[in-house]
Amino acid sequence: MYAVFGLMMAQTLLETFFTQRTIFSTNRILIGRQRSTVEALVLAGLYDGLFGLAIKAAIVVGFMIAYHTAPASTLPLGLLGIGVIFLLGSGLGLCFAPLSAINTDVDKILAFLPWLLFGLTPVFAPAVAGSGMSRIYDANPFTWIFDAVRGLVFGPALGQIAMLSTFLLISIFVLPAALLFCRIARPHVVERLLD
Amino acid sequence: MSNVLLEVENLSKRYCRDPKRAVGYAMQDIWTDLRGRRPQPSLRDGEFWALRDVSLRVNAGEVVGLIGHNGAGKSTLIKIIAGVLRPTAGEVVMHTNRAVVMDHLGGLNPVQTGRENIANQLALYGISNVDMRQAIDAVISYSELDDFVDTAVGTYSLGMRLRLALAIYSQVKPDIIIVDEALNGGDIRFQSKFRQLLRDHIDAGGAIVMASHELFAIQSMCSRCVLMDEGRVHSEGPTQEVIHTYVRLSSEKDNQLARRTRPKSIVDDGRLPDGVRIDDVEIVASDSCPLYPGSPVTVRVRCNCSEAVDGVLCSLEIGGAGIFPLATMIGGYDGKGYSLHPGVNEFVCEIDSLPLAPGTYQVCVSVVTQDGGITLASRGYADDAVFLEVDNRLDPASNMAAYRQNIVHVAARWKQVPQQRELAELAFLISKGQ
Repeated sequence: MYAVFGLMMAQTLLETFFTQRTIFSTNRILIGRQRSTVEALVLAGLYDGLFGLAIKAAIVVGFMIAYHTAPASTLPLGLLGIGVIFLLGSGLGLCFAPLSAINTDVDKILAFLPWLLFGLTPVFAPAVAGSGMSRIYDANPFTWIFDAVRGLVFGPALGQIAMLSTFLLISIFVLPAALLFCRIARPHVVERLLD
Repeated sequence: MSNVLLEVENLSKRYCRDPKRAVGYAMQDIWTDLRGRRPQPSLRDGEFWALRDVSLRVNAGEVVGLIGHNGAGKSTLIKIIAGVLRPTAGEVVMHTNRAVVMDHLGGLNPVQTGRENIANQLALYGISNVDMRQAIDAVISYSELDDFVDTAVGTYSLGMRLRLALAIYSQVKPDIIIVDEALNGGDIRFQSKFRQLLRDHIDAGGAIVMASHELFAIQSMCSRCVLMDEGRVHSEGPTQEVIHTYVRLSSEKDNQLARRTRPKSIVDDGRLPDGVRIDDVEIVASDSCPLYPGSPVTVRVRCNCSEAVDGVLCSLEIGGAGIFPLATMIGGYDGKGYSLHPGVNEFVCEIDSLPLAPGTYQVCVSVVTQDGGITLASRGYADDAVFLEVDNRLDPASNMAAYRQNIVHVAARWKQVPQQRELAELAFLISKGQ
């Protein structure tokens, strides 16, 4: 159950990150030929991500039933945490979208880097407290939100709400800022994507 | 109330040739925009002006043609007008929010099906959900693509894509249609339907900006034209005059290119005997007008000779468009030939009607002996090319002949033969004494 839920969170973050990071290159035909708002492209990506999240959630629920795992009473906060992961992935993806579209080297690095990052995050198995692996995990900022969401969904939830609030604030700031950045960058990116 | 639909004021756009620098410049420009500042209207290393100080005004009910060579800046201008690109300097003021751009792909998404593309495009242009189903059916019916509408647009032929795009834009009912070479695709039926749509659009008070290399289309559709060259407006005015200027400009550019890449000598001057030298070849219209197809032409050849030579011929050859010679005119064959005297000798060749279409031709003049055909002097290709420039008249037929790079000018008269029915009606009226 630990690995299934960890994978669900990691995939949610990765998918939203990749979807938003590639909005310009994926829609190059559209944006190169007509004026289209970045918001529309972002919303399309968010809906796409929501659909994927719904499927993953159904699988997790299936596993919970199969393994007789009951959620904690803080489940609604846990669901909010998944929403935070979703928004954070989208916002970070948008931050890199312009550079990723106009620089193929950056695009390749960003396609690989997140996988490396998740190799250093407690997705599949917990690290023993105080061990070397645990210290590496702690150095990864995503560890904190993953642990917080896991705690809120399955318990123990103690101390996780503060972490959730912190990441909620970060994601609320990052997504609109990144959207504004992409909106300003759009014509400059389109200029370099024209064929 | 003003009927101006589109105003372009001093528009400039710079591009970077160097892809490595372009990424850095893009980030620099984004940073400038983030700080809310305007970019400096100057060139950085590796950049060039794709557009420079372009101004344009389009009124309702007007069709404005954009013509120019490849790379003249037409597509960049259209992309800025369409809001796809941002200008480096200047501004575009659109007095309507209903403008569509028709390019050769119609702005369609190849991954989506025809139906999805229709829905997306209609939604982008503000068709409400209530009207959507009806509008989609109308588009499918207009495009005549019923059997393919649920297939990915990527599998469509170019003509099918254009038909779909045309059908979509017929529903959007824009105020301005910007056509970027879109007339060149599709079959005859499509093109005819498209032109009819554009005419209906104009009759309804819309405006069209049309960029095309199809001068037939430009001539038949546009009341006014803008000629663009190297990112600037070269000239603007009535269509015929601007096309005439365009053809002349093309000819000048070809001429410059020909002068830069001078062809190899067809005669090796090194083998010419000393003593005879062609100093000057003068080609003028006998009627003192510019040289036009069919003009009477006089060619004067002046050569300097150090000693007397009898029995020589003077040859004038004209070539062009990769063919040499197109025509050869030899003087002196009808007798014992000409005689060269010490000093300056002049030969005159008179052509009653120049059979050349508008363009730039090359001329080679030779003085050869009648016996043995030994070349005494030659002038033309070797060291100092002689060009014959035939201008085009300010009329559609002449413009078209020049644009299509015809070589031969054939003086012809056309008339339409009345139909049998019309002849019968005419005979009937005559018999009735009307």
